[in-house]
Amino acid sequence: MDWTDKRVRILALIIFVFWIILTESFAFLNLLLGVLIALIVSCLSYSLLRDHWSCMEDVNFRKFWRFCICTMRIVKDVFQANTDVGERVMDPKMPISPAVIKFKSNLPGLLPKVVLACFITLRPGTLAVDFEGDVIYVHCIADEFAKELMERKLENLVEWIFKEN
Amino acid sequence: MFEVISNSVVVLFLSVGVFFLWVGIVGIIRFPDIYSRLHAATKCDILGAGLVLIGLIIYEGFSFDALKLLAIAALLLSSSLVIGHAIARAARRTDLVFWHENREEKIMLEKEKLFREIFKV
Repeated sequence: MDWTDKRVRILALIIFVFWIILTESFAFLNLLLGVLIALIVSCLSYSLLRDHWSCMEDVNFRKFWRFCICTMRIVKDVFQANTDVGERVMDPKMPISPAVIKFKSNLPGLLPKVVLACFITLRPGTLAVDFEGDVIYVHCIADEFAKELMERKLENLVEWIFKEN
Repeated sequence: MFEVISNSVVVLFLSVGVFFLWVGIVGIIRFPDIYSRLHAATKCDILGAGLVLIGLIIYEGFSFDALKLLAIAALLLSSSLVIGHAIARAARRTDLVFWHENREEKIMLEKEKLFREIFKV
């Protein structure tokens, strides 16, 4: 319950924008109600922010911009992944040979690992299954995708996002 | 004229999106185990729902409804990946085995061994 905190104000701003989008009006009473509700909700969820903010602390605008660039680059992979799944589904013989591999990453911190797992899931033929420390268990639908993953292009991409300079 | 072009673009987006959703459903039915089914479910859901929502946003033009659709898209795309990961993690933690080519032969061999042990043939 500390509404002088910066994090609470950021959350209140996000909730307020969401409120405007949902109610579709700029009337004074509506905006006042929105501000009140945003402040109440963000104060009530203060304990959640306090306990789970630590991984978001060193996020700045440059990292966010690089993340957007990488997302644009990943969109092509998403199309490729879908056509690949489609080919395997439509084939009467169903050419799959699944394997679970351990992928060890040297990325520091929680947020880079989460981003890496999401990118792995978006790539064709791979699915991030579980975390144990530094090891990610990845389910590959065919062997060639495991080899592709081991070239570590994806890890370099995520490393580039979270680089300091 | 402009309306015809924009409507045809919308129809294109919607039909490609629905096609990919259909591919995902066929994948869920046809694939042999939970992990391969998740491949079909997560990937095809992301692209299919994304294309359908983009089509609807183009149809709606610039308005509050388009912003609402954008919010739905953001929530859907960010939660779909996490939900797929959570299901796979739960499956691994409960020791569900994953399917591979030789597994059926292996099970048959084990059954044969058990049969021999029981009936001493």
